[in-house]
Amino acid sequence: MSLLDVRGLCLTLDRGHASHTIVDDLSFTLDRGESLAVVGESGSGKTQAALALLGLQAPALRARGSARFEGFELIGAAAAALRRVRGARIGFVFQDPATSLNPYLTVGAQIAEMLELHQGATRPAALAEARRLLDAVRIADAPRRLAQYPHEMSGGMRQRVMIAIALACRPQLLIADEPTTALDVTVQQQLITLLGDLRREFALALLLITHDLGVVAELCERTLVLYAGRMMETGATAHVLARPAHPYTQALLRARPRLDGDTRVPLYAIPGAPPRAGQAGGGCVFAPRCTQAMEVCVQLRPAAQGIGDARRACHLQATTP
Amino acid sequence: MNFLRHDRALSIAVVLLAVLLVFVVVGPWFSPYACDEIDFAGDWSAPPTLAGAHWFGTDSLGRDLFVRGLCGGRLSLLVGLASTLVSLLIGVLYGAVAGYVGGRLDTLMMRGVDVLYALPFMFFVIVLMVLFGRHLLLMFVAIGAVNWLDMARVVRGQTLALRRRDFVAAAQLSGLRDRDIILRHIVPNLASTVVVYAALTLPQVILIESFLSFLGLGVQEPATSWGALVNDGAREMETAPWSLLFPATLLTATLLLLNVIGERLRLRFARPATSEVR
Ligand SMILES: Nc1ncnc2c1ncn2[C@@H]1O[C@H](COP(=O)(O)OP(=O)(O)OP(=O)(O)O)[C@@H](O)[C@H]1O
Ligand SMILES: [Mg+2]
Repeated sequence: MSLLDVRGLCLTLDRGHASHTIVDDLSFTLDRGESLAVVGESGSGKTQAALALLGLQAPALRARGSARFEGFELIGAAAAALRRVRGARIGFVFQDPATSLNPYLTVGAQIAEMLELHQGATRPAALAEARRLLDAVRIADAPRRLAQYPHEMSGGMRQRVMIAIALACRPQLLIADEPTTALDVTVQQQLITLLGDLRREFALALLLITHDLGVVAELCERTLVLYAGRMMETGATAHVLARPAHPYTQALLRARPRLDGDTRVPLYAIPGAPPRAGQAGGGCVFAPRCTQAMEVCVQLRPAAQGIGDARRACHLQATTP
Repeated sequence: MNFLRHDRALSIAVVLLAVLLVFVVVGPWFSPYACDEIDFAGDWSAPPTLAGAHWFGTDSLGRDLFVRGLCGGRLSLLVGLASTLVSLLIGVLYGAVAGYVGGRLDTLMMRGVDVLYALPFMFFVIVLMVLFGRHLLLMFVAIGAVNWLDMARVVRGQTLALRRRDFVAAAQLSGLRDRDIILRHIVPNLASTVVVYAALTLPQVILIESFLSFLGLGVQEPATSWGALVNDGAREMETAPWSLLFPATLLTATLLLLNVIGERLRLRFARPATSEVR
């Protein structure tokens, strides 16, 4: 049994009789200790899909489908049951460490809170464990740092604290939503290395949300490409990045800035804009921007198909095997 | 505490208020007279003398006005503090819950506040006093219970802004209950607003108590408060003006100091979100 088994996850925004689909029929699995990257443009529904796993998507959005974590159905689960999963079995790290920590509580108190809540630890025991956790995320001088407030720390250090909080109860799964986007490049690299190390030390499964394909290559064995709430392509990272089968993935890779590239050539941009919520027609959502679109693409929505882990939703594959 | 040094008006007001507080709290112990002690040796309504035994004279029953002024201050400040605490407690919890939960409950709760606002406030307190008798404790509760409305509105506005902050979402994703999120994450972030607002509420409440006592609905003899003393003094202000002047000065000075402190704190700490709801 996989650790996380998501089948047909849908998120819809219901406004009166109009209903917009934000995430459509998303399916993937994640085994223990495995890592999966979800990549996609801004607004493709990555964050909301991840939040929906813990029942915390935006209040206006309704989740359907199934997401089993260790066999336990998360979608539609009772609030009390979900609270026992949140933080304890599934850790979550946000994009912006500047705003995700409570400015009025010490770092120690915020880490300790998790252990007191989920493991019934006493404050001294929780603080001792918090010190070990700060060591684990490579924050030097842990005893002094525990007594500090978030504003006394740098952005990179705050994100380390967020990771320490997420890992406090030794979860099996860590969901990281663009954990390095708000940080500067050198700090980004340190955090990516740290996440890689922690995955091994804590035997973590990692669901990484990002639009940085470099991070994906470094951290994740598998990749899922999301566009306008729909899965375009998924498979082994090496495979997806080296030989992308879907035109969207190809375009995404072309649009990527390269250090060794010719700086005089303007950066490739995918023409057009993603559909706004509710605008997608009956065909492939990417068809209007696709350079290889065929007649069938506009009329019929391609089903995800493939062998084993490698799947893609594209009509091209049917015609050019 | 650094800001104290940079704000002359605030620091002067704080020092003066502290002196006044020390006098009011400690003074009566050092006075040769008790608060309700009648000096049979002296005159009734004796004028103030520096040489004599009664610095501020005596009232119509021959009680020392100096010590009565201080005792009255004890009670006025005590009522003020207790009622402010009551209104703080109710207002913060009510406002935080309404702002945090949002949606229909928020609408319902805030319309409730609007309705209460529409009730004539003094009338409300007077009805409470008549219904429950003139019990001191009840007066605390009555004033506090009516005075929490402003606090609830301000706190709700702040909470609405805090609710959207990432650390609240992070707390939810950590498995915290709403109750714990409100108490441990929202309320501490309200601290500066609440302190400012409490400092502005305190003089209001002292004034209400004085007003009630002036109407004869407040404290009962032989206990006294500044309002009651002003009431006593007003009755014989033609023959013994000092019996009005002394308590009235103490009351006014205290209110002035508290208002200055509250206003300076507001300028210093209040965030834009506070002015938005007002
Ligand atoms: N609070 C909300 N209420 C209603 N709809 C929302 C809300 N938040 C997001 N959405 C909808 O969900 C869609 C997906 O948003 P989401 O934040 O998941 O995108 P994302 O892929 O995480 O983007 P980014 O890379 O910018 O973080 C948005 O396009 C928007 O239409
Ligand atoms: Mg996002």
